Amino acid sequence: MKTASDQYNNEIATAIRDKIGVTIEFEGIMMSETEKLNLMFASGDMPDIVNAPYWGGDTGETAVIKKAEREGRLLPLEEELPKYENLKSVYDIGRVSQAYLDQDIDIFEGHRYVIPMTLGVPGDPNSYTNWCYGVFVRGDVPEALGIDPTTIKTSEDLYNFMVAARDYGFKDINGNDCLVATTFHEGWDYSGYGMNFAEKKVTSYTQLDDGTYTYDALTDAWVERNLFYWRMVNENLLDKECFKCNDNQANEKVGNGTALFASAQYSVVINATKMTGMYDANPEMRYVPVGPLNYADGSSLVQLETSGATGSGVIFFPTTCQNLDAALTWLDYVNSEEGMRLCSYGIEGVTYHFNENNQPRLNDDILERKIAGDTSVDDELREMGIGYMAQVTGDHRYTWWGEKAPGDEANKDPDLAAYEKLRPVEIVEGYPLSALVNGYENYETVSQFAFQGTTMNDYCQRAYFADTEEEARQILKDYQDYLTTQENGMFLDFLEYANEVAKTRDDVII
Amino acid sequence: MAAIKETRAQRVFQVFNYIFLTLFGLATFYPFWYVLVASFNQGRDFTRGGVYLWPRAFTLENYGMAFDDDRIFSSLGISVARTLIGVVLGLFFTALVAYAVSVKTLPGRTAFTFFFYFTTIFGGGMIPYYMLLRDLGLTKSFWLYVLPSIYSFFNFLLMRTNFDTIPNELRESAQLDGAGDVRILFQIYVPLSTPIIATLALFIGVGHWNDWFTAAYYQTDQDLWPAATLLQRLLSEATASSTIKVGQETNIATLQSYTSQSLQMAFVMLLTMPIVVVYPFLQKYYVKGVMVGSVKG
Amino acid sequence: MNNSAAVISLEKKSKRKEIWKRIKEHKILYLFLLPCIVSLLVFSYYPMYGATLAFKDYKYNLGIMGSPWVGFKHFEDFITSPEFWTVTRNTIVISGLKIIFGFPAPIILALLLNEVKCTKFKRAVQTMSYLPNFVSWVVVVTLMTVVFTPYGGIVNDIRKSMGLEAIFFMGEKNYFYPMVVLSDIWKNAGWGSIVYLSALSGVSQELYEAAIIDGAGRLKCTWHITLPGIKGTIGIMFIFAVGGILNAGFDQILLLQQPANNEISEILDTFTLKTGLNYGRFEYATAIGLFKSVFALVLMSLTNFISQKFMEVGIW
Repeated sequence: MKTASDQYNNEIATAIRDKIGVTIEFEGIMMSETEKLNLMFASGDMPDIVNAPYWGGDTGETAVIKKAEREGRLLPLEEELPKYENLKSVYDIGRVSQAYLDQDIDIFEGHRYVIPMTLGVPGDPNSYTNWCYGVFVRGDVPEALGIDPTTIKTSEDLYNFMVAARDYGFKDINGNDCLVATTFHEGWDYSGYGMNFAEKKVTSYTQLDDGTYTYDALTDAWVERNLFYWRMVNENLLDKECFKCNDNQANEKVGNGTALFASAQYSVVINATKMTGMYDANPEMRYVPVGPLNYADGSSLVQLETSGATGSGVIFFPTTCQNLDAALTWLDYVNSEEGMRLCSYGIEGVTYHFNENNQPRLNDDILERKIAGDTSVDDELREMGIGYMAQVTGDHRYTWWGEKAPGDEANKDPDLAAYEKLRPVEIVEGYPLSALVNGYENYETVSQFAFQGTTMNDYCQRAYFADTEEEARQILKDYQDYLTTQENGMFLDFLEYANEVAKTRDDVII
Repeated sequence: MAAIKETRAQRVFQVFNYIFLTLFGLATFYPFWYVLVASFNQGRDFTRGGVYLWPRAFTLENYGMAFDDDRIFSSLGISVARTLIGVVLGLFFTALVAYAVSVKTLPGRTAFTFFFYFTTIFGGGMIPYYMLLRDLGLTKSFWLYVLPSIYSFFNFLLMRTNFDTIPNELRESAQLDGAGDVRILFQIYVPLSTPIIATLALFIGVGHWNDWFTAAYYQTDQDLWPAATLLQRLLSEATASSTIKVGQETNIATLQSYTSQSLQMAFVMLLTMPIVVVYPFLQKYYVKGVMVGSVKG
Repeated sequence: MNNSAAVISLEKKSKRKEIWKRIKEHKILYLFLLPCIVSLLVFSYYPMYGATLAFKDYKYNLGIMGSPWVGFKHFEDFITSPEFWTVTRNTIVISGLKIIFGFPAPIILALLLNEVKCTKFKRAVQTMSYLPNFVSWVVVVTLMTVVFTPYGGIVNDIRKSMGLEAIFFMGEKNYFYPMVVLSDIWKNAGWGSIVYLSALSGVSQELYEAAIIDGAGRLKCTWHITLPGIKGTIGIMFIFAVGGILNAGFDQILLLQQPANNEISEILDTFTLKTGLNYGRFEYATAIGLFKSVFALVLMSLTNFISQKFMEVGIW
């Protein structure tokens, strides 16, 4: 995260200090969050406030933070938060899901240690960000092949489309050979190509025909889906480098039109082409959405969200924090409409004005530069303290201001807006099974060999590079065997428990 | 050299030897030339491919951008400072130790050597080490780079072996003249050992210049990062910007003629050049520089 | 020290006196050693208490010393884990390959350079061959990615122009070990040859002249004079190489790891980093580290012993 170079004396920090008498200075980290948290807790070297990811379960950052909670390294908040207007509702259902509350927050003998920073607001679908994931194809490709990309609905369609594109012999904007399909950093998100194999659900569990639940990776559908990726790699459709590439390399491949297909968030794809100038110089090459693909059952792809977050970024305070009141006062203020407006839009008259609907809008000079793609304006705003401070505990920005981020309304990409409608957000009610199974007596052990780490990923990606389909199938089967034989078959016992516990509620979803 | 006529086989060998060494030299040299060319070529133009031997669209822009970035500039300063200080302190203290151990009559010298050697094999792991550094106040300090790494067993071994070759009689006769150990070390041993000192200076210097690990894992003040760490992070960071997942704000970059790659190339060159420039000045000492030696069993 | 039972106490006393005398004589030398001893105690020996983590169940709130003991649990977990054999095997294979191919490379390079009579040429080649040592592995691997990419990389462009199929050198499993060894030689051979070159310059010229007069060829000279002349250096370097056998080149491997080669590229160090820092299992990571250290110490002592016996050199 980039901050103003002077975090104490910039305009916004001064304005906040005048108002509530508190200033917070941020310190970004440049290593993996898990590594940093581990080092921090293990050595006891902690700042006053920490903002970290807490995606639930017992993996990654969450595992580290939970260990710290369990061992009393954090300050309990349940008695403090109700005193603050904008913080008292952070645990409301709808903002957080019941499952998140049950499984990740209320598990420490009545104490609550983390403030979830959730985007969802009960009853407000606009509060969810539409990430616009999907598969996108270079604009001139469907044209040349005579294929309408919006008719691509199944994996077979997509496969044939890609084969046709591969064999056509397209060139990129520099006249070099093309590759077919790529992703952004470290394979993000190759799973987009296989969405037709996916069921419309939010967890990694699935229900068999006989009504029992099982784990995705143990199903044939999982094997088939991964064999599809194997086929893509094996037949030179999927970029062999994509699993280890970084965003810079991906930006070059997409931005120069070298990759004919890209799977990621649409905004990221569009940005890449703007960076190289292809967006303006070769408008016919602008990437357009493929499909969206259908789910395995034939229904149309959506962005499925549970009602209320099942995980989020969180704020917590180590026991070494000297001044909890001041920190919470600050947090309360920047989550109020006034405070957040100050942090996002700056100072009225200087950087923004109110429009006829009494909504804040950036001043025209700033907006024009933003639309022209001049990033130095962001730097200038940041130096004033704008744009990095607002913490969101329930996102009202759209309801308050009619736009999520300053400049969005005037600066929204029309292609992006159109795609948002093609792949809308859909909210599903219920209690996810994945949250229920945490109660298994040896959950930590199961989670260690099954869910944590990169074992599944390692096996899968190894399978993609197998020489033959049999070999790939064998590697995938090896992974299934690994799952079911670890710790004397504990995973099967765990699944039995999952089926039992699923019967205790009637609102279980997968 | 004995003035014996070379046989035919020897001439053939010589020819192949020259060819092989030329190829090897080129293989190690060309990648740097390639980076150099890339760093002087417009980034956007470079991605079109085909630039191998000479910049096609010459520009100083990449270096301009690199110097414009405060972080790069100040990190190079940190690197220079830690290298200079590290070399001076490292040489001085290594010389003291090597001299002491090279005195064969010193009781406990073998025990000390093993005491030293043992540290290269066993360690307590990152966590206690980090806690120690923090308690000493080093995790927020420049001295993190210098103090813990003054002594290296390998360097000590090189210097000691070299001192071992200096005849003991020199020391004894100097002692008869009333010279103390300090004088013997700095007025006799050190002047006799300029080659090894130059070599170690380069070894230690290169070690400091290239060390990215220490800062990446133990330095909490990022303003104190050396250039090697910064470059490591720039090159290995998977996500180009952390804004991707935060929101939909399409962060349109201005149309640039440089690319992240061309900037990195310039940075790599900035990091490589200083050593390459300093190196020839030290090279003449190397002929007799390194003698890895031994205690005869 | 050989204290036989026959030594009478008087002699013992005088011997002790003598040592005391010698220690006093050398007190300034101990002063020279003092900063080093302090530094080693503080920065190396003191943190070693952390190794006890390997036998503990680490709790943040109890600290390293206060956490409960669990005996050899982590070692058992590691040795019985499915990763144990793969990781150990990979480590030994990669180090083995590096010793077989990478260890002789600088020696050969030094011997070849030694045969060159044109000083300017020799200097030029030497200087060029040192260059790769000045950059870190992340730069090297970035360069390799650019050069070997199947999409417009120079190597594959050449292959294509010869009518061959493009190969994904950096990702294909079969090319992993060759890439590791070659990049290792490329990066380290030049710099490594410095040590041998200077050892070579110490070999007496008179020996050569005498041998040539006796009618010995170049190969014979190399075999009977040059190599024995630098065997001490080779021996020491070899002990170090064997001692480092379990290191296998952490940076390099971590960066060269690809999904396709993961099965043969995961080594002790990369595995330790992942379990320790990424999953927070410091106890487990420490146990693996300790396992490695003990193994390395045994190996190195053994090599040192053998080397002392046959090559008459050793580190201590």
